[in-house]
Amino acid sequence: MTPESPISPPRLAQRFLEWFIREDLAEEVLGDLEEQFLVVLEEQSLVKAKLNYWYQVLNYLRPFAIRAFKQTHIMPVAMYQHYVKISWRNLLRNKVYSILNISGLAVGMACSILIFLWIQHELSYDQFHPHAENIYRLNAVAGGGEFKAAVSPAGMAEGLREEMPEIHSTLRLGGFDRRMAIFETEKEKYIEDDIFFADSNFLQFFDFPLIEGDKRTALYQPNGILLTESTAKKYFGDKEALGQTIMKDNQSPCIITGILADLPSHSHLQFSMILPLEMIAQTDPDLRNNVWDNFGFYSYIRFHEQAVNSPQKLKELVATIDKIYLDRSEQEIVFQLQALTDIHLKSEQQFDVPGHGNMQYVQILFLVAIFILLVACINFMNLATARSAHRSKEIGLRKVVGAKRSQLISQFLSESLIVSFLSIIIAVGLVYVLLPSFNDLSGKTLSFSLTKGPVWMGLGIIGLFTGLLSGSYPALFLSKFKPVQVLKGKRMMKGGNRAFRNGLVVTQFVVSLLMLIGTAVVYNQLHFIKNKHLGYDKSNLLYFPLSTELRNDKTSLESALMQNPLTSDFSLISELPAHLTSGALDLQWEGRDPNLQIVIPSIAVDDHFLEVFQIELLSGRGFSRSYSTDQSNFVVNETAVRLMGMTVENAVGKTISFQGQKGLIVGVVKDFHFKPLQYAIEPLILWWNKFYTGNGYAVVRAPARNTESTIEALKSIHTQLNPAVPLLYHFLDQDLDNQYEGEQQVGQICKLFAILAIFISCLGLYGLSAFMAEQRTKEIGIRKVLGANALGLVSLLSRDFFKLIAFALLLAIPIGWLLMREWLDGFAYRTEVSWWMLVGITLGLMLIAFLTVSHQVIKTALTNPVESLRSE
Amino acid sequence: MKETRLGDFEETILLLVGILGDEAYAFKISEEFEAQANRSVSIGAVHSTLSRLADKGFLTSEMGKPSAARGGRRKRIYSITAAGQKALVASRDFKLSLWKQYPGFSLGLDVGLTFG
Repeated sequence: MTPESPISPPRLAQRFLEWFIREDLAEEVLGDLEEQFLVVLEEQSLVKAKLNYWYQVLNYLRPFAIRAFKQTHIMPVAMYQHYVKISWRNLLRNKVYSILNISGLAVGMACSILIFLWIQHELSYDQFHPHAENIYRLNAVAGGGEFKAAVSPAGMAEGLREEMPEIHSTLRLGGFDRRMAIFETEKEKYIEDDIFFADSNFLQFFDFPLIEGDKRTALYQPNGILLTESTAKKYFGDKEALGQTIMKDNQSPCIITGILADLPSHSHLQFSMILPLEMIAQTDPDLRNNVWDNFGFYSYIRFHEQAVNSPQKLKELVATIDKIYLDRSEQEIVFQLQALTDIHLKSEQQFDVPGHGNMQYVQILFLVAIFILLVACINFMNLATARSAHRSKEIGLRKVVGAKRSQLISQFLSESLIVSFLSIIIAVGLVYVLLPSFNDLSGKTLSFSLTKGPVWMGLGIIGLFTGLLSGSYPALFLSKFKPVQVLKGKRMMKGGNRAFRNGLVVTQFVVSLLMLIGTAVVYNQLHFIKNKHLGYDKSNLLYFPLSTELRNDKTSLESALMQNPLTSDFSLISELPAHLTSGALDLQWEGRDPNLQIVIPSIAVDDHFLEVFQIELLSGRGFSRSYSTDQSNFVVNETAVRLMGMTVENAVGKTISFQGQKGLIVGVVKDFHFKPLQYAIEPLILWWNKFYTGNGYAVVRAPARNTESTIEALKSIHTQLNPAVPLLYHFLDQDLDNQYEGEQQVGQICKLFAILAIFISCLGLYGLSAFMAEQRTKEIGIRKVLGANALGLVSLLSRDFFKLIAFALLLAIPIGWLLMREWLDGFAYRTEVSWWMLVGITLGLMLIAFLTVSHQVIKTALTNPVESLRSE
Repeated sequence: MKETRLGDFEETILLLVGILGDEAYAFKISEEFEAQANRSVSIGAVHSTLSRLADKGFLTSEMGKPSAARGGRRKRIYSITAAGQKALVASRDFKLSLWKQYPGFSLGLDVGLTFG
């Protein structure tokens, strides 16, 4: 029979029993009574059984069986007021200590709030689209997983939608080779290099709010374009922008049909304008033919609700897509569906939108935030326990007049909570002050506002967390004092307490050191990358993109550049060797394994390329106009030679075919870097640019110290050939440096916080040394009377601290070394964690620690012994 | 020092624990007591004695198996320890020696002994 059955013991009696019975007895007693109940029920009546049950329950009201009830207090409010008052008085009485404590905590909290804001921003990318969870981007994978690209063919989105009922709608963004355009209002010309061409359902697909214009029709005119609010302001000031006409690229008029609200900073798509794909439908070969073999579009797919409800289902959908593609094309390409909200942090795609985050950095910074809070909490714990001697009398007295341990614990916890919430208030102030500089540092536009609910919750959580964590040890430790011993005047400095405090100090310094070592290694690696010789000379290389006019008349450009000695060292190329993205699968050579899948990058160059970039030729020759066949010949790099199983010596003269073009290898160049240094050097094919139809760049090496005049010369050439457009030039070495912006920003953030962690740790150390010095005043006095000199005393007092720091160094250095080697392994070209760096950190930390401790120590050592020994 | 003498009720309960063996748990013991002594007792009283005996070290206990009649709850089975045995024997011997000294009842005692 179960208790739920109709005939069961009286509920009330059972509940009563459960309320007062000791927990460990409950099960057996309830069982026994139920058995008894059933027996009586069987032998007598239900009423009798119930009465008997009550009788038995009441008979369990015996001392052995009753649980220990906590005494409940009648008026806790007065008690809490008392706690607050005592905490406040304590804070005021030890001003130095309170300031150390609160400022340490506040700085720590401000740091973590800033980091959490950053993390929250990183994690919130693209979440604002109402159907974000159903939207995926179609990514292509070639070369057996080696080559992932964020792009897919023009015809695919629509083709998939027709065949797959799970798809709700699709959207393409494209025209990447035309992302730069010139727009002309009646007054002024503007160059925009971040425009997107989108399918007309852009506004229905994504949720970018339209301030002016009609969402349903805005993008459905072939020449109707959308501007963001700030772009519209730039063009028209305060005048009405909607309905105005602006001239694109000097030839096609566009009507502004909608004004978009400025984009949220956590959108992976950032643009100044959206133009309809319709506008280029007739001129873009991909769109005209709806191709399936050229990968030039971002395709977003929105599935129906619940269509992708499991990872399994997603796999099935991808398999379907692969199959549909296989039916249409001969290329061996598979696909990936990447969730919209993953694009920012978890993308390693080629051709992706710029400005990506990195999940690893989010995790690292999360740890940093927790570490900093921990370091700040440890400060509090340390200072509070160190000062416990001062408060032992208070605790003894409280116990004598009847305070319970739980009351003392809550007293100390409320003290630490008060301190932590005071610190939070200061921290919030600090955040407001520091946020603009933090934004500069991290390259973000984070905002902090107390009007949002979650912010309050977050602050509350941080406050509770630090308050409880930092108060826990003092609360548990101090409340343990035995009143008799304390009031007798016995010092409560047991070995265990000191060991614990030392452990805390060591932890603090280990954490700070790890951050310091990490920062040093990151900086070292960045320095290494920036100064690594790339295989070509990157200095003084100016480049500018070729606009349509220049592209169509390369000969005039070439002759104009050639005539001026400042610009005569030039080359026209298809892509910069900074972050090469293009590649093809179809390199053929004799003896190629037919199953091999490899994407080979390539650059279309001209005959000056090797000289301008100063790339070393290992054998053969570069392209030359004196050989008419060179237009179909190739120059390859060493890695490509190795891939094809040739040698530098015998490669020249071999026939290969690439991109459907057959030709000879005429030269082999030494490997040079054409991608960021995370990547190892891949095989590379250089081919003549005569057939290249894309945008391309002109690269000019300015004569040393003549950069300014070279720019002037370029400007005049540019104005002469293409008067409609101003010259837009860049320096290649600056671009190369910018590639490591993410690393640089994280490096800077880490540096800042490592310094702060050291600062907070030193605050703690200072407090601790002050306390120690105070405790040993009498001892020092006696030592001085007996003839100890100041130097000896300083070393005596600081020895303990140095032992701790030395121990922290012993722990932190190997851990830091291992961790950072792990991080460095992510780079194909990396430095080592060098010993001089570790030595530098060690010496630096020792010096800082000494300076921190010395003030108190020297003060104590120099005190006149009369002062310390006079009163007793 | 811990109290290790046996009270009268305690002695009875201790004996009942021995008699019941594997079935020695609070409810069974009180039932058995009622049957044998013809006197009613509450389970709580028995349980309290049992726990006192356990404190004195005369009994040990462990949780048994759950059973349906108890709503799936387990019972605590008690068993006598060596110290418990010793205390019982000592108590019997002490009373025996008293009976032996009691004039005119030695026969009755002998009869009683045969029952024992």
